[in-house]
Amino acid sequence: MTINAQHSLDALFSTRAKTVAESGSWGDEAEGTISLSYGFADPEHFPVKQLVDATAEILAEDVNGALNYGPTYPGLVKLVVDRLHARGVTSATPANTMISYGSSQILALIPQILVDPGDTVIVEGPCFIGAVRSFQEAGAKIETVPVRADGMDIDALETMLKDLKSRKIHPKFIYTTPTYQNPTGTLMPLANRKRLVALADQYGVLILEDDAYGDLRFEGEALPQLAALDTKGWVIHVATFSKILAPGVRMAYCTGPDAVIKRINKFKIEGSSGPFLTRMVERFAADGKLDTHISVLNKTYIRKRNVMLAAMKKSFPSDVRYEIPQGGFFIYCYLPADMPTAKVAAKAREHKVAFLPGAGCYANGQGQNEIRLAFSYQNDANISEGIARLGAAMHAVRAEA
Amino acid sequence: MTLNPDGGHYEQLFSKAAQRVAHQSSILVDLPNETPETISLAFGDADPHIFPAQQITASVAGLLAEDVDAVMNYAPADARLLAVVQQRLERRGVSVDPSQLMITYGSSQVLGLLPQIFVEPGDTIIVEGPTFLGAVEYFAAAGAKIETIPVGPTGMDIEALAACLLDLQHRNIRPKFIYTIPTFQNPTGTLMPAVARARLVALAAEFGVLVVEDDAYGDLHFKEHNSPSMLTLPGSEWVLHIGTFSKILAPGIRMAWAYGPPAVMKRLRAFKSESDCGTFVTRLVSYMTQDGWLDRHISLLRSHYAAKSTAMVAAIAEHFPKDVRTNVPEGGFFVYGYLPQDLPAVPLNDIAIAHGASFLPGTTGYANGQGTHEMRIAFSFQTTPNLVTGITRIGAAMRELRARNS
Repeated sequence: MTINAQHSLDALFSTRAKTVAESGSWGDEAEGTISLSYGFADPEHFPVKQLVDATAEILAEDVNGALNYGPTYPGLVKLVVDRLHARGVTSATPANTMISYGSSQILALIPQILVDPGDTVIVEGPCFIGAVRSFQEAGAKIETVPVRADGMDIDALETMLKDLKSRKIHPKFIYTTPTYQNPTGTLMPLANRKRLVALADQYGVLILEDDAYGDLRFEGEALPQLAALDTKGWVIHVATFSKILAPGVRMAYCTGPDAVIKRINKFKIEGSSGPFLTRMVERFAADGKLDTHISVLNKTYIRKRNVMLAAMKKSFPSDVRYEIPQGGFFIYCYLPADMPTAKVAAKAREHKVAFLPGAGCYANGQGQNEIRLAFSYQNDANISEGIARLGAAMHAVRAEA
Repeated sequence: MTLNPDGGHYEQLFSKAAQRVAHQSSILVDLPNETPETISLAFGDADPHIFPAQQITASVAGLLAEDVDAVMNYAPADARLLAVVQQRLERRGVSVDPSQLMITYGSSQVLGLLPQIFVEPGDTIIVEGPTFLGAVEYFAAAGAKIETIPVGPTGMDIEALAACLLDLQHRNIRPKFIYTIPTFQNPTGTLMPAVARARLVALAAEFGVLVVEDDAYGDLHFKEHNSPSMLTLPGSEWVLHIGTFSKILAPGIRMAWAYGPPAVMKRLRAFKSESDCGTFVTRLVSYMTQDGWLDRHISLLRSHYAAKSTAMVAAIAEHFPKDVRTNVPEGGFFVYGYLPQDLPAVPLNDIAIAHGASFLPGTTGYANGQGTHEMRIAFSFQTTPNLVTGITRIGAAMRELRARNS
């Protein structure tokens, strides 16, 4: 590009657009590698026929509604509100519930409405780092609360809130995935959920509850979402159709305090999430069809989890620690001191298996002896083979030490 | 949507930008109060009778049968739709670097991102008057000062633009961009000639101002014309081109594209909050275009909308008073009318609605309150019989208003 000598295009950009980060790229893995890295959905259970039928139906019934200019389909908002009500989130209304292009859109819009450069945001460590990056891009200072076997350490959170307050720092929000957390798979117990919501009210801090995996409950009791426990309006609840329909459709939803949702809507500049897609998703999900599909998925995912656990038991050194997740996509492992993740990853590359290093889930460089394994995507045989290869890599690291 | 400026106990948590939006007022003018019985010629909706429902259903089935994992799982942006757009731009003489092309959720997404990457409160933006005010609303909401250049029978008045740029330069004001719809403009339907386009882009380069070329209607020409995309003209490194599948496929699919200088595209990508558009919908659109289907569909649309335009123009000649001036569009969705002094558009529209038809008063196309005696009449949505009935009713309303005045 040639730039007029007298005028630089760069001078036209707004202050916050002057510098922008380069976007990330997807990891390259060698041919024949079994990747347990990404939380992809099971490719064998995408509801193809249901989506084709839903498309044909919505176009036959109301082609103008589906294909002309129009809002997000109100029927999808209603369906989502009904689902939230069924889970006890009684505060959800069509006015304070919105549809978005994936939860990543909400997670990127939230910092726009809540974060000015230098503001503090509290996240779990480890957590879904994609969300943290969008907070950081808005200039947030990230404080990390550790995740234990039962989710976020609420004592540590309280200490942190107290400490921040004593330093006159008012954090904007707490980002948490209390249900089958990414990456740890942990489930926050009811008592901790109640304490977390009470702390938010006490300190005047919003909670951003990411419920991406909430419907993927294989076993155990369903716990109320933070949004269901919140009577004072401190919880922004984000959930997605990515895990229960398909990530490629990019449909998610969000409910929360009216003042917050109104502002997120203002910043969702393209307005509607598309009459066609929102009608298609509604039709796919309506009349109990989504719940039927979810039960199929949960049978599949618990089977795959069990295949992975059995293989881990067989192949991993016995001092690799992990919890058994009751839902979600991941098993998280804590490696012994002589098995740093970097060395295991290098060896795993030779053995043609890949995973997500724990450090990729922390904003603060922790997680040097942790790894995340996704059982969601690969088929049973690949899970077994991948874990066998990874076990061999671990043993090799130890042998070389 | 009105926001309660009082965000309650959250007020202190909101970012400065979020606090600011709560206090904004809209520049958009109230739309006519139609009833369900009104034959509305107000809105530029596409004609639902020509939506490719079968092609969409067949494509969803074909696509998912072909490669369900790649289509439905998490994936980086798929290059196929980019290639479709690249090919279409190249056929119009643009030499395309794919890295400067992006797919968006409707052109409104690009229009909404523009002020984020260009506008600080008080910055100046140049727009056409009348124009698509939905776009200008985004710019005004970001605090932009709007300069309006009149649109004549051949689009934006380029001499007025040159004078405006010079005047701004004398006052040490460097506008951020010029927003133009050179091809079958919304709302006037005008086509900017090649010479004016060349001059506009040259001016932009001379003054160091970006041109935002909104090409929403570019493919919907009723006869061949030789007005090139501004991307093909000297100075095109100052051009951001926005195109959309809304008019050539369906608005409800929300697929559009932007092509422009690398520095601009890099920022549009960074500010597009949800990153790439989903693989399902982008693959669906590229799948639909296969084997020349989109070209065949577009030629169908051209003759379909041309026939409707002709029917409307004929009805206008028959039913409107002779001193109502209207242009004859060579493409796009709209006929634009200039009303005599005794027929102001807003009262006229109220009477028209009482007669069972409506149009869009010209004031809805200006950021500065002009257009009181102008009207946009869309032939895109209604059936041809309805178009004729609608025009008949509006003509009756014109005579009624005139009779009341005399």
